[in-house]
Amino acid sequence: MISLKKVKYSYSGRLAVEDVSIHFASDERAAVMGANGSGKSTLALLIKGLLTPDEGNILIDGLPTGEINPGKIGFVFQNPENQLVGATVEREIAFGLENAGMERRKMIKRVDEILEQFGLERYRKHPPHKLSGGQKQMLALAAVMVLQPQWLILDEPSSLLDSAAKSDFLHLIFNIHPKTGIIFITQDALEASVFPRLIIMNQGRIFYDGGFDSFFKEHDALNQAGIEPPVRFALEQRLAV
Amino acid sequence: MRIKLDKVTYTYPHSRYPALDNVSISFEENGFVSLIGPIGSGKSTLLTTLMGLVIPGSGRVYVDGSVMPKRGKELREHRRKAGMVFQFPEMQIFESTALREVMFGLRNFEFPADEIEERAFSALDMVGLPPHQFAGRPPFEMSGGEKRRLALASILALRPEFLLLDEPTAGLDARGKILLKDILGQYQTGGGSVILVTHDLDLAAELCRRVVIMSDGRILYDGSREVFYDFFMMKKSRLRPPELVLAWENFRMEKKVPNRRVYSISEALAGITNSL
Repeated sequence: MISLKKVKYSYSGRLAVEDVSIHFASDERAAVMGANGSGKSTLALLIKGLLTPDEGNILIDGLPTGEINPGKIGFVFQNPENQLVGATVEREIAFGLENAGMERRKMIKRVDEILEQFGLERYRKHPPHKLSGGQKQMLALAAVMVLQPQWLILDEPSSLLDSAAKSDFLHLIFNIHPKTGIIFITQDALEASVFPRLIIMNQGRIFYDGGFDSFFKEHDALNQAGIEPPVRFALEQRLAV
Repeated sequence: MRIKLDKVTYTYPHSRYPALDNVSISFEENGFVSLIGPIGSGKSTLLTTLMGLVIPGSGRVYVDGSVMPKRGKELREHRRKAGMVFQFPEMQIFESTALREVMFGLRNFEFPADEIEERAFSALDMVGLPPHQFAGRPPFEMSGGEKRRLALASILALRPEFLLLDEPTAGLDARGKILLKDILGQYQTGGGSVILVTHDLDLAAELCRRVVIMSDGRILYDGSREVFYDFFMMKKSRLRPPELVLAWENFRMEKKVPNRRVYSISEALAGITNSL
């Protein structure tokens, strides 16, 4: 369980997150949307423990973020360049397992499995920086998921993927470890629509927390939060006016 | 300007598979072209080849009928004319103010001092960062969307004939996308041409009359945007048609609206009004 209570955070005087109280059950799957600068990424960094709240508190299974095993929450940044460090694709995936002290034979088997699941086998000897942007995003996810975190926080992790690859991406995060809790930040309403819970942030606050359809039928709320509805909704809304 | 690739093949070091495989294609100054395809299909490599950053393993690249220069002043001049905005360009911003950031490229290209200022101010204006408000602002105090537009201004200030854009809408919110479309519209009105690599096929359909589809380093299709209605071709390309096309086709079947093709929400609405 992740619990945030009256969390506030500012970047040198500029308020990024304010009065955020929210809970996520242990296997919850939630999408987070909001305009640029609405506080989504800050919220994600706070939960991961990479930022410390100015006010309020965050507990992961009852413990402050600084006291949990860092491997418990896997984090994928929007720009994969921010997290790829391995010399080759397979070494990138093995990196976390090596650090965790996994036995070599077991590790090789695990890396092979993940490469296959993510469609990266043919690139296993490639340096990550030679991959395309979309392949790097797949690799960043693979390198985090191989560690089987209890939670996945994904900050616009699929912005360089085509729609077919986006479906594969969602399929992977939902099915590789079905009990993993997921917090998925996205600008793509179509991606958000497959999550049972939608959270909208606006100017640092939680603006909406509920189901997908009911929010997207409210076009005043959409405009206020600066969110683009799926085309289907946009067309229906315009026709209804 | 005309850039032509003739049977170009390029394989990255350490790779067994070519990123570009016998590609022949040409781009002229004639508006917007979108370059689409599944991940790893060679789109970004093609873009960097057009800019002269990738030297083909075999085949030739011609600029206005002459072989693309490999080094020196001519190559620098080519890169000014074919300006590229990379994925997440805001990550490459390093100057202390927005104005200095835009002026950096202009100084590198040794424009006269008074022209540097004029170009930098007008580029900031064009991307919706009015100089009186933003010129002295440190980029790290700007929002993600503003930084993206600042990076775009740095290239637009060079007044390239071709603007090569690699996933310019990744991570942008609805407002950011609208602003970007406006900026590209202005650039086109000024006579510029755009080659747009994107996974946002709704954006490609709205902006680009010519569509190039790549797959496994090859050109699978090069023609009009009507291909977005060719579901067989889209499937073959491993692409999902634009959401607008899917929604419109559903709507058309349900309401028995006459067969016509639309590429933006406003065209769809006009189509509906006309058919009532």
